[in-house]
Amino acid sequence: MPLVDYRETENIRALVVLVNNARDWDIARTQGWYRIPVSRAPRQIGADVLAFYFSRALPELAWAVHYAAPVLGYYLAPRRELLPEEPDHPRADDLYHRVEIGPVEPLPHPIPSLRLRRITFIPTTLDRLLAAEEINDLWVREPPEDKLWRVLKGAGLHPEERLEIQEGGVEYSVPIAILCARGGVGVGLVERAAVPDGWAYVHAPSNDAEAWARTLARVLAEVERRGGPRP
Amino acid sequence: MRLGFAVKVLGRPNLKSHDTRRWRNAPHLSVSLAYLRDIFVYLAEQDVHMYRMSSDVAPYVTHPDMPQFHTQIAECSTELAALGEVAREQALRVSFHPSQYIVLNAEDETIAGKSGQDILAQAQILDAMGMGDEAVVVTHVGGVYDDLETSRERFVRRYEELPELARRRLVLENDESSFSISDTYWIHRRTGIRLVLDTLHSCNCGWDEMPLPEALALALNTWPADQTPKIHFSSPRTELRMMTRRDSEGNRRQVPLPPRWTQHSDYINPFEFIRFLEDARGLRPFDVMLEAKAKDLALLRLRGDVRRFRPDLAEEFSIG
Repeated sequence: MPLVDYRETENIRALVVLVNNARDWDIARTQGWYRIPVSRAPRQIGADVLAFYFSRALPELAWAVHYAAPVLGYYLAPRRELLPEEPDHPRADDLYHRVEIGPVEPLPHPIPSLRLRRITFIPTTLDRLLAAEEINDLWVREPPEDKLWRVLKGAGLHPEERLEIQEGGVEYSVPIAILCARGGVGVGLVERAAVPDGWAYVHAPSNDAEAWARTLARVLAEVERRGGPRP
Repeated sequence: MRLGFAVKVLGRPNLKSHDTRRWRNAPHLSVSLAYLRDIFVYLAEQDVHMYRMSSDVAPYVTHPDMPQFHTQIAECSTELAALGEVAREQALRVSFHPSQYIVLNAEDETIAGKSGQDILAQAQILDAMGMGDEAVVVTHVGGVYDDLETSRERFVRRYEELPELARRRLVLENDESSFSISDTYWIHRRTGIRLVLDTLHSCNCGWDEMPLPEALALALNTWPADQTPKIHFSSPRTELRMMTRRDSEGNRRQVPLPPRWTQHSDYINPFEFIRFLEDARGLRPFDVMLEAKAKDLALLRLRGDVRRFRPDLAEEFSIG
């Protein structure tokens, strides 16, 4: 059944997953499954549809979501069972979610990451998948987060959702990131969040319009201090 | 005291309770289990240790015309066991409450038979998860078709015809009109079935029927000493209802109507709950399934309210 024919598309959940090697992509297309290590599974793995985001390992598809497939089942299996040709792999006994999928089909249009960023998992919905113009349109946000996002995007700041940055051996996950000429500014609803050196973090209290206006003013000031937003 | 809520999560977007796809899209129990795994993650983050799972986790599993769905529970034995392990690690008490279409005492043998199959399927899921005897399937007596006594007897007969696995997990809840706590207790005396007191249903029967504190003690004592009983608590809606009616000349008019006291409120009235806790002092420990339209949000709010208004009771009953 073509994905666009799903009834009640607003209730159909999708999960964007990373394809970072040709073998896994071949398995998805020809054998109809995709693997997620249990130990590194995201908070949300449940979905009715799996969508595939490609890394530079597949140059002709890199940095965009191009394809999706209906999810048929989730099963647990050790790596040695999934990849029997590698019985001595160091993680051969690790458990994986084997996500069985139906036929892979192309999306109406690719969904690019405009900043060629690293993505692992994005829980979203089918209607967002079919309507998104760029990767950040896929995130499902709770109302205060959504409001914050719209305020920053409306100010022309090109925000990035949940940006993962590795710097100095430390991994950062910035709730909303605005990349600047020099460093960046993290924005979020939590009072404190770790950001890389040279970055600022602005806490956005989510109570009223006046608070949002003050938040935006602070963000703009920090972005200005760092040479303006990176296009 | 564990506080729980039923099925739908409102506190975080994108968390589905089960695979809701129609049959032609091949929904599957394993997909529902992935959704449940996500909910369990959320519950752990919120320190919630009681949850009612959707009765539709195994889509069409007993549908007579769809045999392709009948083997899902067996197909997911590994995944069910794994999810059960997660539940045990989190000290999470799970349960089912089949829908109103499950009527074990139906006059129609086909309806009764189908009801038994659905109850059995839910019991099998709990068994496959490795859940203890406190993980139950809650049902009501059903309908009063002829007279109350005959209808009660029919429930007893149908209950005794259920497979042992289903009987072991099944518990009985009072309702607000047909079968009060006295009726369900009569059935308990005949069958040994454990009782779940629903406080709002009990109140709607009137205290002449049985005062709530007495009903609570009665229901709790139907559970073995080594099991923690569970009850249902809710507050009644109090909102004005505006209904469209036709007047004598056939014109549509908006008519104000009073609330129905049997309907659940959005949040739990904390003062009613506090009064209830005061009445429960001295009784054996029990868990409470909150039935409120705001679901997990209502639970989180009530926990905070009890701590705020009566920290002594919050500590005494180990609430949050």
